[in-house]
Amino acid sequence: MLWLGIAILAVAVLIILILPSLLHRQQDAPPRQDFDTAVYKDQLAEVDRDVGRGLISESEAATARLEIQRRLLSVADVGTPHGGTGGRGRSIAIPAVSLAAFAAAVVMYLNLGSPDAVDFPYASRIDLVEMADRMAAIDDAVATLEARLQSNPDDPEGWMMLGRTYLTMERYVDAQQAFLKLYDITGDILIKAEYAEALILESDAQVTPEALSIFQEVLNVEPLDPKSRFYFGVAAAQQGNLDGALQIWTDLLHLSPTDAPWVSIVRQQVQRAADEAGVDVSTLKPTEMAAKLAVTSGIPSADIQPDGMSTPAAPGPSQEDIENAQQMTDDEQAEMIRSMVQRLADRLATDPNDPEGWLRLAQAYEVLGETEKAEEARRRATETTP
Amino acid sequence: MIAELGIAELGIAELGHFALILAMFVAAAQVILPLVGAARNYEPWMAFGRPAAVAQFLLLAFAFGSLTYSFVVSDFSLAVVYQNSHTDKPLLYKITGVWANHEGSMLLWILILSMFGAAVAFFGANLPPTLRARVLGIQSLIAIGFYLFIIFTSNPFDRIVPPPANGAGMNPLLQDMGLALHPPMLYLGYVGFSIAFSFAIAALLEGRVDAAWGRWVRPWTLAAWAFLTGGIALGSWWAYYELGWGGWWFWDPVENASFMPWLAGTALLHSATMVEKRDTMKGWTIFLAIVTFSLSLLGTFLVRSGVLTSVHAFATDPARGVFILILLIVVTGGSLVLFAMRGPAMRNTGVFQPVSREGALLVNNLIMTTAAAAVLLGTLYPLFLDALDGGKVSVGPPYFNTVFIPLMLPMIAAMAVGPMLGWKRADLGAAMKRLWLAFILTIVTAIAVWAVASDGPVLAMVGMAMAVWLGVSILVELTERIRLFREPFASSLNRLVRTPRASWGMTLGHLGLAIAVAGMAGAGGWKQEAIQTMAPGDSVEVGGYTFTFEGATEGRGPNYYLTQGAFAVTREGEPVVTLYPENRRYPVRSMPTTEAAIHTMFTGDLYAVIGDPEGTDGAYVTRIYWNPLVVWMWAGSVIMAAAAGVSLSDRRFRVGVPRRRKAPAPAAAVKA
Repeated sequence: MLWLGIAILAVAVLIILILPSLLHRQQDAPPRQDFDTAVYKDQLAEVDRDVGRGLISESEAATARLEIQRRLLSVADVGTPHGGTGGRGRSIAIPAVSLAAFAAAVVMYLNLGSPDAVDFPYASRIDLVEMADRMAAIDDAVATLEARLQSNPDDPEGWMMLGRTYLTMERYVDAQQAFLKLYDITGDILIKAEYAEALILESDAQVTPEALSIFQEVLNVEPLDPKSRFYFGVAAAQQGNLDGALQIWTDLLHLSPTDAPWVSIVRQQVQRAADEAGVDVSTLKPTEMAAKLAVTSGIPSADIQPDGMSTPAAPGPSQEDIENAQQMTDDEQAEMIRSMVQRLADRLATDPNDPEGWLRLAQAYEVLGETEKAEEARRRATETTP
Repeated sequence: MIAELGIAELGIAELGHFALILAMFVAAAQVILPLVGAARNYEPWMAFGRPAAVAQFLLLAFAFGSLTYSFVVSDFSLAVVYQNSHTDKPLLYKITGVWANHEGSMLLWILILSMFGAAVAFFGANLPPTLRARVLGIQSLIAIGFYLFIIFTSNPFDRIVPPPANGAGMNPLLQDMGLALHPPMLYLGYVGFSIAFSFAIAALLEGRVDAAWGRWVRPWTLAAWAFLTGGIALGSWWAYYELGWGGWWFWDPVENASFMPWLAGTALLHSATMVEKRDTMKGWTIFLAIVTFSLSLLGTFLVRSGVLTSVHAFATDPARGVFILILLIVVTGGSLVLFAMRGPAMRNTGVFQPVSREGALLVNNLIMTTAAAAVLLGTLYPLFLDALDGGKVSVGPPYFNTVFIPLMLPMIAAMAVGPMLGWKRADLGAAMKRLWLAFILTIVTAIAVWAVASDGPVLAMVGMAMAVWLGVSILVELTERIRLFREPFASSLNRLVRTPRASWGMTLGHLGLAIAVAGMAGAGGWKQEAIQTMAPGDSVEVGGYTFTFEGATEGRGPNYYLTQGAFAVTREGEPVVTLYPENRRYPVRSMPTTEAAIHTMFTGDLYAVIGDPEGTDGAYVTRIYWNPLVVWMWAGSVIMAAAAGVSLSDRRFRVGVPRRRKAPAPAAAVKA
């Protein structure tokens, strides 16, 4: 279709350019001086008109006439050679140049234009129509769900679905309300993490202190919750603490099953942060704490490298320990953690100048629910921090 | 769905792109054949200029039309449409959006350039074939520079794949009728001077500039000058009502960019008269034509390169800026070199005494070019300093007012006398004697202004006095010309009716300036303003008027939210008007605009602006202005532009085409 249009344009333009030269071939234009003469004659007439109107006096008119007549004489002197008609080479110049212009335009257009592109009038955009259809379908579904929950509010799955849908529709405040409602019904602490995520999305992905304290609350109960850990890392990164963020995410990966859906996203995040901080990802090791947690939870960890496991930095449980741990009962597991924590505590008692150790210990106590000991350890960490 | 609308498959935008490219090659043909033809005196090649100019214009009109179509149907696969439009925009602003952006406005620029070329082809039958061929060739040569610029650095037909879902919207400040018309009008002026330039270069190539040339070039200069005057007035009017600061001229570099060609163009307009009437000042006139168009190009460069926002903006897109800079250097430098080579050969046959009409026109030329140079210096100096890392300086109104006003006062003083003087030699004393009435009225005005507004600035008083001096002297000249009171009234009326249109043009043009000067003096000197927080019920008195704030309401327009305030204005207890200023917020660009409420009266404008809310009790920041006589300025500008139109319609510009004849007969000319 485009080429049909181009052909029509070309024919029209070539007719305009070439036809006049074919029609007016041998006609002579009047010589140059006739054009000047026409103007000067009119100037003379103008002087007469001005005299007639009394605009200028007769003596002024006389000098003006004299001047114009002098110009008329000088025009006659100049005389231009008459226009030539030339030979055949010259007469084919106009069609040749016109066709060359068209050919050059086609070549340049093929280089610069998009001959295959069609127009995309907004009203007939199929992609937009489909998008609008999808949006309308979602709106309908949401309306139905809202109505159902209105009459039957005791439907945790319904609230969850509504909350998630609101999130995808970027209706974050509505999503927060839905998650709060869901938390009221179920009392499931993980719902609070969903709520906190909606808070973050509402504030342009900034992890707010409010959200952070909720994640802390969640982790106290569910130390493995990936969402909370992930946003802890984001918060650290947003405060400029890239190393801290990397450590948190490394731990998260270590605490995640290899096939967990978030693993690839976290890996990308780690890669990006590591690039920015100038850190080699292969040097990243989970903390001792995370390593122990992974063992006790029996997680086949994802870790940084897609293949293989990294070795924990701190002296951690051996392969044997892990295998044992996997076969242990809950009580036995708790006992094992306690003994590991005790080992750390004993080491710190003899070598107290290790703030990071104290911090790990504090986190461990927090995980075990021993708040007082955790606070004590945290205090020691602060004291020993240089 | 696309298949249903067959038009979509055609690819209108692509066809427009092709038309643009083809137009460039037609332009190239229009340079080569007519210029070579004129040099070798080969008629068919010279004649080719006319159809080529028409074809070029039609192709560009098609390209511009297809871009307009893409804007109207919101085809976001074009980058320029995506960046500057939005489906929520009213249709009118979708259309004006075509040139409210860099790429589209450059396409408009070149469309107008080709339109003038086509106009020469169409109306230029009375031009000698060689001159016409050269004018069209040069005009097309300028165009090629701009074609290359558009196609390679600012192509409006560039695509985005895949097309985004919606556009980024249009700067809300530009969604306005005044600004929609301002660029086309301004471009008609800027680009119109390209014809005067082409005539100048053609004359240099031709080796002859004579009185006839002066007559041929003058209508084009008049038309360009009229459009430029209108364009500048529109721009200043827009700044006045849209920016919400009650001001109408800020000596902003963008304003200066359009003002410099106006000053040089005004000089050109007057010096071309001397070439036509007296066959003198030919070299100077050619020079002015080159300078005027160069200043137009400079204005385009300043506005389009981003140099003005900062030298660093220039660095971010160097291709565009450097391109126009090179074009500017080639056009200006090349034409000045040609001028230096050919200019000295031009002999001025007409002689005149210093005190004469020619002398007065020279005073005009001298002052106008000095003023243009002063504005050029003030506009470019900060740019040079910044570019050389000399730090940021701001050359603002104090500089321009200090330099410009002292230049304009003697010019207006001389303007009153000039039309009284005859050609060749005149008696200055006699002319001054005839202006006794104007002189007395000027003194009376000065004293009256002093008595009424003794606390106002002296400049306002001087300005009013000068306006009266000019206005009265024009009327004196007119009454003398028609011998009013000296001959029977019917005879005078007869003379008035039969006055040539060109004389009317001069009288009206100068009168328009007198009115505009009065407006500038009044609005510049006696403007009053009050900026304050007003709660509903609060009143403020400005310029003898009491503005009572009656509160504000929220609402929404087609693509914006608005706050509308209401001010009841009274004078000595009598209600005058209620003003409804608005504050609009456009969500797509998250940008606010102020819509000042203006009540225009003969004596001045009441002007109210509503700003941001202050506190919770319905109070707002408000700005109230009293702008005395400000509308006179635009009325004067409109009269000036219209006067050029009247002058343009003078019968001497419709001299017919000489009849074809078998053999040249120079003797016939001598006898005539």
